[in-house]
Amino acid sequence: MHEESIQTAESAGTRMDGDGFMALLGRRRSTRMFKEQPVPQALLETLIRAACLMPTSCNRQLWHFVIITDPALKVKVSALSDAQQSYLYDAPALIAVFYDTSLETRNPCNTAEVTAGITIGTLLLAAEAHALGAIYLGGIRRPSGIGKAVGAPPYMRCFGLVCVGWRDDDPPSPNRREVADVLNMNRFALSQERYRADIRPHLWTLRQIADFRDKLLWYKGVHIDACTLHVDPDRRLSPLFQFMTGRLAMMLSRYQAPEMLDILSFNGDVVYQVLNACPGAFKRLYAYDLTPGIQRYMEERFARLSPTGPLAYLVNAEPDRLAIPLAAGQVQVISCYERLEHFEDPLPLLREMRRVLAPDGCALVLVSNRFYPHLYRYKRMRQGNYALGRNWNRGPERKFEPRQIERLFAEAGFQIRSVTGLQPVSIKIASVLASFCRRLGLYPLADRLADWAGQQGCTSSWLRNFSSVIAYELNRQR
Amino acid sequence: MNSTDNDNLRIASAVSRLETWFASMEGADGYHGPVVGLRTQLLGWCGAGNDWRWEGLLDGWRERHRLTGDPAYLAHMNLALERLQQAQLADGTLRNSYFDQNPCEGGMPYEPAVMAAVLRTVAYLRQQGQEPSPGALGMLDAFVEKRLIKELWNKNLQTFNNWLQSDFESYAPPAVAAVVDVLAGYGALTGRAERWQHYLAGAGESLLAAQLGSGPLQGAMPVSNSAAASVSPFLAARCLPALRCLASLTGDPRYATARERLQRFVAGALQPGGGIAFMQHRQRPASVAPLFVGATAHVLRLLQEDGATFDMTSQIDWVLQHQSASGAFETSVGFGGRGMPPRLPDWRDLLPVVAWNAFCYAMLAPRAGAAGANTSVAAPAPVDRLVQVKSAKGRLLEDAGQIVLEVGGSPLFRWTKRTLAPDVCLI
Repeated sequence: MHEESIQTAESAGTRMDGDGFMALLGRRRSTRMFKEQPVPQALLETLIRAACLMPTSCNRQLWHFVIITDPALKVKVSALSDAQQSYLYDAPALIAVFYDTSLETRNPCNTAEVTAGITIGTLLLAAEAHALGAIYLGGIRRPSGIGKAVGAPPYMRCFGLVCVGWRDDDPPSPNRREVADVLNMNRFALSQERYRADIRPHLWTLRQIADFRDKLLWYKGVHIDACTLHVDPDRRLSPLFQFMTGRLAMMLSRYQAPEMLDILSFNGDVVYQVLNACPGAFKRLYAYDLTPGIQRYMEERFARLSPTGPLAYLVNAEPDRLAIPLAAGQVQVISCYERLEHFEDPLPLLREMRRVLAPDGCALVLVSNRFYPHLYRYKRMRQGNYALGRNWNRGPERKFEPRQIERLFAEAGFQIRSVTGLQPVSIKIASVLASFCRRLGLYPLADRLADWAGQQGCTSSWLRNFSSVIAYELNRQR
Repeated sequence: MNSTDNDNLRIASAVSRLETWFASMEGADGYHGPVVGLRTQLLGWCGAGNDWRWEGLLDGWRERHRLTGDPAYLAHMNLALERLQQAQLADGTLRNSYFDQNPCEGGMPYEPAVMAAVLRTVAYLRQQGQEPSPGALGMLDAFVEKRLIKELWNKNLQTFNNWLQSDFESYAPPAVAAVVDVLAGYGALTGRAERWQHYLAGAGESLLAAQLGSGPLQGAMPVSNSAAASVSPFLAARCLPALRCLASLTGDPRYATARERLQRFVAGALQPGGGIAFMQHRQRPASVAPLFVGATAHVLRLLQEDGATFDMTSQIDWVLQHQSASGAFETSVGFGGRGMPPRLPDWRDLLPVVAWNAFCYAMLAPRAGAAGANTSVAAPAPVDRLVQVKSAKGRLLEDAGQIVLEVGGSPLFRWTKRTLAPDVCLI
């Protein structure tokens, strides 16, 4: 049947180069790093011509495109639309895609939106076909701001920006779901359990988590190769990292030439902090992760900073089971920063940690508490349309109650040496009260409150249960 | 012996005791210790920082050598240059250069402040017949080209970002000013001033644009161009040398006018009883708790270099009054609104910090006369002071080997000097 139709098409002289088309699709990547070299206007017009060949409902062709190259206008677009990605500035050309949706507001299949999607997809493919890099920028909180910035009439709805330029990156290819996994013939049937693609990694399989860290981490990481991919403050400047680095330095100082293991490092930040902040304080530092791709990621990210020191990368030994490739009792210090949260059942990981920890060793485990400051949750409360990409480093979804995680530690064979609450909710309350007092002109009280909040960076009292993150220092049970 | 001689002797003694204290804080890779900063404290990590502590030390050693000819100071300077080279990373930043937010690289304005001091040191060493090593020049070049030009230059704003992931529309004038010092100094050192002319012009314009034109903060340079409701006079003062340098390089009278206005603002922030206001605000009285001792010393030095003519004697006396028995200067007066009689000083007021002390050193060094490095004081004298620790009374203890903060006999913080981290840190 399939061959027959191909033969028919061939005989009609209309067969397109299927392999070439599939290769084009396979080559396409979202480009986030662009060269400074501008794109000729004729080439940009070619992309628009390709988009205009796409189908529209009733052949209305109500699209409109605005190409933005002026740096000052980019700043305005960013400010009005709240699009914070750096590639908006780095790409030499932005294509703002508009469609007049006023005639198709009642269409149950949302044809206007679908048409805009087809158009954007075509722009991306056409860019790839002309050796350009492109990315669709959809994470924009106020797309209407783009229209305002370029002076579009209100009936033209903006569907986001396509950033176009000459590619200056080579991101790895994320995995794609198998056709058999997404296709049925004639009748919808799910052969396996529901595919999870939300931002909660603890609902994923180990293979999914590994693939995410192996591929997608590249896109969401911060300042790879001296470039800012995603505007996100450097977490290493946070009080949490300060606390953690200091505490790890304290722990390392207790041993003579200790070996240290970092579990699923926070984009490599923990490893880098230890290498640079504690030189000579350890014999070897192991960075354990799920796939070899993380090593490439960390090496490229740190190339800008070139940390030195005895670092060894470790890759999980088995695809479906957590297995740290170290001998029992090999390391004296373990760090694990907000990584238990990525597992529905963290006990296997905790048991592995317990296995490789020396009898007199200690582990520092930071666990996000229910008071974790999920900024996007607050933003979503204020703005229903706020959407966050899959970015692990803005607070994992999973939360542990202190009693729950402490029970798991005990089950895994750990005893708790100390517990510290970090960023207690009282800091935020004091900060809010301080700003309130300032508004009322109660400056001395405001200063007192701000000062008090500044001193509460960590606490070991009962307030720890109301903290964003709880830091546990663990020893092996005797 | 006249009063000037007495003053010189008093300052020489203070400087000598301070040098002894510095020696107690010096480890193999630099100067260690906890930090009480403008915004936060760093107690958990006490490793060697490469922040603006080097600025004060390098400038102080240079002045001491100029006055005494003691080769020990030259040795200090050369060792510092070697240590800074060791601390430089591939992108030109310095390891652990974020002062109170250490350990992290890329501190602003701490890094350009260090590099500007390195440039002054290199120029001075040349005067002494010592050509800078290729390593020192390479360090400066890497910092300028890789860090400042490649990473921090913002094409849209035509000035320098404060950090790699800075907001695209904002910049920090004090940091930009420190960068101006570096570019101008490096241009003079290498004889390639035209290479950075474009960047200096952009940075200069951004400084002029950021200066506040009217109101109670007239003449001030805000910490960020996008936040002008409050200004730190201490940080604003850092713009004085940059404006002076730009006026000299370009001959543009706007820079001279801006410098004069800024000088008036900074001098006006000095408190009659001593010390410089922590923050000046547009709509409220100045924040005078705490008054940072080291910051005051730094501002006095900058004002004097800038040609301020008022009598600084009472302010210098105020600084000297806050030297403790160990030789170190106290960090501040009045943290958290405390410390005013009859209450106890806050523990943060008394905890000595290398960087703040380095600023005191740089200010006092040229006033200490020609007395050579005092090696007769072998170790800092012990300190035992009552302090307020949150709501409790505690003690701050220091000797040659350690610093301890305790409440009820139990240590909250205990650090053995020259080590990476405290063995107790519960605060």
